[in-house]
Amino acid sequence: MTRQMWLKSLPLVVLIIFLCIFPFVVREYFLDVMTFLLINLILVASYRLITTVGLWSFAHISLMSVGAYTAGLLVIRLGFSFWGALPLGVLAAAVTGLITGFLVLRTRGYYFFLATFAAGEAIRWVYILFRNPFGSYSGIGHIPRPAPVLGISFANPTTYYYLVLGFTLLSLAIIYRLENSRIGATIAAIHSSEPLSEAIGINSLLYRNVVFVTAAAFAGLAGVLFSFYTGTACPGDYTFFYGINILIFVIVGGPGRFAGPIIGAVVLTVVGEALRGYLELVPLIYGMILIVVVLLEPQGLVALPKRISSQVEKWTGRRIMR
Amino acid sequence: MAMLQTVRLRKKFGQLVAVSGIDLSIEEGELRGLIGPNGSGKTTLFNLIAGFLRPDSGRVIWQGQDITKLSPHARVERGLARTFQITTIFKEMTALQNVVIACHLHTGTRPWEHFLRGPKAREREKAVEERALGLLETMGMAHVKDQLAGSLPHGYQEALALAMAMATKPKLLLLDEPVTGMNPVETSEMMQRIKRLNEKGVTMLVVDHDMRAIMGTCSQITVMNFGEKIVEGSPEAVSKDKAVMEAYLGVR
Repeated sequence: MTRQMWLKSLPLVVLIIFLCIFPFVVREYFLDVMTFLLINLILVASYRLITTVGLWSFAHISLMSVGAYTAGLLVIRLGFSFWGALPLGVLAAAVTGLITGFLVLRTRGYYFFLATFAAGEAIRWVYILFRNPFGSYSGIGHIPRPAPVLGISFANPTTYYYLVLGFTLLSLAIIYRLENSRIGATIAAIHSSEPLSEAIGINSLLYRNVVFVTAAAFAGLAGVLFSFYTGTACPGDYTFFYGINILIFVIVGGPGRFAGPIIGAVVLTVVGEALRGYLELVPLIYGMILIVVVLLEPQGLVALPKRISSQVEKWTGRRIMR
Repeated sequence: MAMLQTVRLRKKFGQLVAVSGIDLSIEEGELRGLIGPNGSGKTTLFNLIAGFLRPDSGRVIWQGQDITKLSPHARVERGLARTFQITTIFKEMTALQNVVIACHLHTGTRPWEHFLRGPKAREREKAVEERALGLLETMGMAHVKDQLAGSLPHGYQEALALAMAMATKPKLLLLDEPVTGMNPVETSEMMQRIKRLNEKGVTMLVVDHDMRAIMGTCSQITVMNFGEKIVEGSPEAVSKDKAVMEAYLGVR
């Protein structure tokens, strides 16, 4: 790797090192916050993937729940191990995404948004209506932590944190790689102009399905990690409001760049934590931040550094950033 | 057997019959022109052949096979490609990236190979880039390969769109108003390019308003009006035809 590449990846390396030593430098409470944040990063990055092909889904959190319920039930009812249940949970979410996609991916724009909302709610209502095996409103409980590996117990929040960290970094790497491959370029082309893409032989429906199913798989993964952390899975965990939060993270951070939604998730989680004592205010503050961002910098927080540096350039006549 | 045939193709928009029972037949190697006044239905016919519209009745036959129900990309896979009038290129990508994407159909690499970026995929990517560069060179655009397509002058954008269409290795190319908005020099250049490509073996159907460009380049011309074919023949025959003069000039 060239020196340039080393310098560019330095911040990322520092960040990863920080994340690795994190459990040893903070109180346990923050470990909990960070675990949820990491799970949200998987959600936010996979959600953004769907937006890169021009679609805004409202079924993402419901697909997350499919992973949670499937893996949870496999362990509780059928005695699977966590490591056996996890891929099956992911697969179940992907298959559900495939079926949902088959039904809704011929629609676009607002219709797509509403159709995915309907699909998401339909999934949630399956849990509510079928007390056996889904447990209706109370859901399923007593989901055990993964069995100890090499004598280290996952009941320990630090160990579970590393488990989630590993999956998060892996997920982000895969999604990033996907975006920067030929597949990602094809998706960008479809987003730019679907008729033109069709006219050069791109099967746009196929690509939209691939994106949707892939995103669903990652949502399912997040669901498994989430439910095995909290030990439960119930319809109340996977509501409209969780979906709105993810949407706000993505928009505030900026869906145009890979790092955008991640920044959005981090910033808004910090804000949410700062309002720890005033939980009722969180939706209000989130809403206000959303409105401010959409009005002042529609491309999201991720576009701020460039905005600021070009403004400063205008004032001082000197270049600040490359 | 004709390369492309439409059989009693019909399309209505509400009460308006845009295309009423058109029988069109194009032989391999032809450079056919399709002209007609505004509202004659030629754009609708064009979109029906390309697969962007479904007919109310009638069929589109490609090399003996009924492709009426096929989506646009499936038609491109079979060698029937088109260009556009408005969104002709991907504005946010460079000229080279545009052509590379258009080469997508013929890279031979499976999607997961792209994702893993193994040596095979990388090799093929290089070959694709070389092919794309070659296509840009034939359009005289190699020197702007890294410029954003949206910032190119109009004539270059049209040439780029043509390069992208050629990248799909079409057997028949449908050209949608390729010289609209061009000055006489650009028009002449573009029509020359089209003629050269036709001589190299690409059958073409060109729709346009520029009568002189079409008459000067195409060997056979089909004239439409009010959704129907009114005349078909050589440029000389068509230019002297009374029905054509009536359609365009309202002269009796």
